[in-house]
Amino acid sequence: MKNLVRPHHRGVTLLELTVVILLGLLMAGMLMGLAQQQITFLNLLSRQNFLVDEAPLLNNYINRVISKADRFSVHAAVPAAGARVADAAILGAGPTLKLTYNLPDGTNRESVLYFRRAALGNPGGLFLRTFQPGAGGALNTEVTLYSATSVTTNIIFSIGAVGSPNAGLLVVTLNGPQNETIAFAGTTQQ
Amino acid sequence: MILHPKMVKSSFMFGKATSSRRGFLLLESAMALGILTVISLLLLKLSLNVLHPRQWTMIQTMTDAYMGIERASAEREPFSTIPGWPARNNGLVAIGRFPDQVVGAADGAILRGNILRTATVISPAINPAGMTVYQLKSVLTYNVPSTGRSYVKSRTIIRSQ
Repeated sequence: MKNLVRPHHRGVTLLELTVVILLGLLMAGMLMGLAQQQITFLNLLSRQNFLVDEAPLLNNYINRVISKADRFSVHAAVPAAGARVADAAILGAGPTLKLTYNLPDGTNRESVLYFRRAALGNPGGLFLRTFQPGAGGALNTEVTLYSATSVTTNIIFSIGAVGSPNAGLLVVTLNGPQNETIAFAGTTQQ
Repeated sequence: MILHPKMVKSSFMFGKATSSRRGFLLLESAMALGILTVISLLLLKLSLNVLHPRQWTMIQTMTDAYMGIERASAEREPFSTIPGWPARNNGLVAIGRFPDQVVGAADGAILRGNILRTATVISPAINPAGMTVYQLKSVLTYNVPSTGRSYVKSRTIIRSQ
């Protein structure tokens, strides 16, 4: 026979229900806070990546490339695709560095180290373009040394004028994706 | 209605069990909240343990890079103008800039330091070759923003004629 008698249950009061809801909300809030804390932490961590990881590597890389050259000069314009540096050297800041290497036979070889900022449909980065020996030597290779994904990333070469604190020095200034800035000496002017 | 004895017993037991559990949810919630608090504090401490050394690394990278410029400047200076080298860069300088905390806010702090250059002639009396020898020294004093502590870094270059 079906038992129709239901056991007696004591109901919950409105106060108890309110306390439980409040505690539930509190726990949900704490969990949300924990998640937010981790997101903020990861965000901070990624913001430091340029200065902690990329800048020292770039410093090392650029120094190694420049130190092999016998002469260098800064230029204000980025050369056209596949072309040599066309404008005159400047004492000041520019995105292009012309590097000249003396060869044992008395001739020289030229290469261009330049930075192109990222733009829509145009990936930016640091490029090294090398030419065959001789004044009219054809384009040899062009390699990407560093790819920049952010439009704020920038690399500027500068040589200080006479009398300035960095007179005759090649200073490489790196601007990161979060507007961070670091400057280091490329090498001394020969 | 007459209840079966078993039914009475069962109902009684259920009632007893329910009454013994009353307030247990409050205890469970309080424990959960406590555990969550401990976990969040631990995670915060772990995050800081990772972030602090990275900030230290950033500062060292920036100051080392700046001292590299000072070193190159000391090596590059023409010998005849060495006595005027200290005056060209003395005082407060901008070493670098920390990343922005909020996208597009341009709120990144600038790391500044105080540079002191000296160019000292090393006495020919202690110089067997009798050459003019200079000791060029750059001393950089900077503060770590998170702790406010002050640190000093120096580079020395010996230049001889």
